[in-house]
Amino acid sequence: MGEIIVITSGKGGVGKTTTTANIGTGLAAMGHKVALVDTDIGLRNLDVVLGLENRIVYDLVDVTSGNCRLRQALIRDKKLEGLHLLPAAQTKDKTAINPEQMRQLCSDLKKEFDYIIIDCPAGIEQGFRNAIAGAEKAIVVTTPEVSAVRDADRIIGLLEAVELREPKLIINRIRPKMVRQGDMMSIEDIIDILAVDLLGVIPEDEMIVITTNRGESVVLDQNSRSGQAYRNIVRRLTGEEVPVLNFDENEGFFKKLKKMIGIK
Amino acid sequence: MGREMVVFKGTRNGLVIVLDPNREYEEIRNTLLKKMESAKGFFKGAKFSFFNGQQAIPENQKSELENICRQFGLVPNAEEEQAVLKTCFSDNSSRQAVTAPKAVPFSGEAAYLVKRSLRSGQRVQYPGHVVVLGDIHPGAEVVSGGSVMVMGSCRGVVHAGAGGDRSAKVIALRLAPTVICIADRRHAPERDRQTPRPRLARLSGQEIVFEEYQTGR
Repeated sequence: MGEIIVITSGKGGVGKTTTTANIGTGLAAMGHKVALVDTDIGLRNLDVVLGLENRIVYDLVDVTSGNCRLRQALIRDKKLEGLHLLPAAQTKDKTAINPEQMRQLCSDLKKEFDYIIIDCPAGIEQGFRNAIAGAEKAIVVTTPEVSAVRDADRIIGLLEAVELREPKLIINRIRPKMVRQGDMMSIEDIIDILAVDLLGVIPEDEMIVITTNRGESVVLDQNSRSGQAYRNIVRRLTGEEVPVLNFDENEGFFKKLKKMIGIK
Repeated sequence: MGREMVVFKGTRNGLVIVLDPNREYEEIRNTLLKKMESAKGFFKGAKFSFFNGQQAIPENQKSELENICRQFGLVPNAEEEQAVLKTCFSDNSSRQAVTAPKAVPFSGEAAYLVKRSLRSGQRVQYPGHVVVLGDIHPGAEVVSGGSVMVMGSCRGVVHAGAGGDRSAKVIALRLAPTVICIADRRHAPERDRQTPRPRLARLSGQEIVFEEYQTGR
């Protein structure tokens, strides 16, 4: 029996879809059987990010409305055997499905997959309610901006109200240098406000843009720090204890020198 | 006119405001407001409770009526309302109820206990005091007819003495609200990184002042 995880944020553009793609790819690369479900009906992106856009025949709404069987709509990934995508419909809107249909869909997927990762749309309306309906766990993605953190707080409140307790937090696009200079909220500041467990921190990285535009996932890139950060998150999800990456390795020569002679 | 819509009765348990259950709520509210205005502080400091025949008053209407009374300096009766009403309004057996010792000797005022943190978008409104066993996050809101006490950080919007109680206070282990209101005064503190010590906010004249919290105040 699989585990159903929803990835949500409230605010748009913080990296839900990128995170869904990378976590799913990472889990599949470890040999797990993974289904990714895009619930952003009308604004589907996950298929594009995964480079699977041209393989879509049926979508989520076709499945819930009985136009096709679940198996027909699931798209196999190009490279990874265990990775499957259930794409969102593009020509309909969020009202095309309801929470009850999502619950049914999740319980069907749960029989066949080890992990079901649901990509939630931005907002707190019906799209959000659909996405969380069948979920057993939640991951909240935020960036170090007051607006994103405020929305994450709202989302955590709404998740708790439907008994999705103790959601895990991913802080995306952190810039360690700005944090050191006091120009960006630190990990501690964000945890202090949100009071939830941290699942991982992703540094700002050009490789994310490069891989995403190619329809690849940075999690498979062995040389980038963001890839390493996503791999750590995936390992934590499977129950391993992995320490949070230290982003201070690129600090300046003088700082290193100061540290060496002990004036910090 | 057979019966008055709003009647004040003095009892040994304080003032009982008798409402005519057969009238529209709007009428009752306006009459109450008029009577209060014409009484010009006559009832100030009196404990009060409502009596609406055998019917219960809906919670939102009740809190609005209570707030009107608070604005004129009345204090809601903290004692169990039904007990008060029984002693005042039932037949002869009530006499015994008055003389009988109370089962629970109770002093102090009732408060609403919030046993969790309030996150952005969550709101608590209560005519009496509010105690939060957690934080009030930015974007959350507490509106209280009395004082507010936060056993954690208070960073959202907090309104104490919402019915006009100028003696209401806000106390928090870390008091850094976005906006704080006491009675009709509003204050938006500058963001500061103050040391997390328990602090208290109260009204001093027309100003909301902050001070370090000390027991017994």
